[in-house]
Amino acid sequence: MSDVWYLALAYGVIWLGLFAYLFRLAGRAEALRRDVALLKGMLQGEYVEAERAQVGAMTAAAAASGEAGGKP
Amino acid sequence: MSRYRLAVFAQPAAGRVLFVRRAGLLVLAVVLLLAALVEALVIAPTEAEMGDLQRIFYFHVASAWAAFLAFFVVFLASVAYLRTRAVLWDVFAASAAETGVVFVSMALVSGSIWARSTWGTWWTWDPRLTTTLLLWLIYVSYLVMRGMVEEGQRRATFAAVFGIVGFVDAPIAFMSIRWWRTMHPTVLTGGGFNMEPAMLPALFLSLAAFSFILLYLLLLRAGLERSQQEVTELRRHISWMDERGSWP
Repeated sequence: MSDVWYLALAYGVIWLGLFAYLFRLAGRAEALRRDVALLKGMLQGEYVEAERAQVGAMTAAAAASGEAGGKP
Repeated sequence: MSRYRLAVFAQPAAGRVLFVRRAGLLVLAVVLLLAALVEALVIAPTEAEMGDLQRIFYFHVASAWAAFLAFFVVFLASVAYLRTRAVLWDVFAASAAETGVVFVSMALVSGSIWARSTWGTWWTWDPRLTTTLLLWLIYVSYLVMRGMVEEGQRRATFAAVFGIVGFVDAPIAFMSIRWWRTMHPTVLTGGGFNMEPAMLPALFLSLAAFSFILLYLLLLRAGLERSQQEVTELRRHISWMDERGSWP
């Protein structure tokens, strides 16, 4: 193999290494974005549901205390 | 719940600023890298003995430099973690270790190609090569160890101790060409740079370019590590809610 071939091989390995690592990081960032969106959806859904349940419980408690107080 | 909302959902504005800064850093690194490439392959004079093969030197040394810098960051961040117990330092140490392994791999492979063309062998157990391979093994083990310990604080503490002890090999690898008989060329001597002054701009440009690439990759990787830790926390929170049956 000629000197130029070795030179091209060495520079090629370094550039390939850099780009491969960059693409790997980009892929991981994308996967994490998907994970965060999924978990965010789950927890936000849980939050809304919990609030709804709390309001429901408060309404029921208010109604019960109203009945106990003898209101019509 | 509010803690998680703050940690994960309230970041877009800060994230955008960080993204713009990182993009600027990437542009600067790529411009420097292209300038270094032109300087190394076109402008720098051809070496008398090795000819064009010597041009491998510029990016080979720059890769090794970036690796040593990264491992120094691991060392500093590990010390800072043990002193403060702040997760941020653990994130930086993990990111720098991974980035350092990438750079030291590139230095080893490009060095091996250079060795094949000048010494006639892909590998020899020369002190510089051996201590650098040992450095690679230490930080690969560091990353494997991080993957094996699940609990966050224990993992960070083990990793910090590993990061400090493992760095002992870095100065040995650097000084090996002075301490032992070696075939590896010695560029930096007590009297300065052992090379033609006309070759120095290519070397310094390559070192600067790789330093900025390292900084960019480090910030990018640290952002991912932080997000990964948040995702792990969220998953733990959700599985805890599953176990308690506290979903509405």
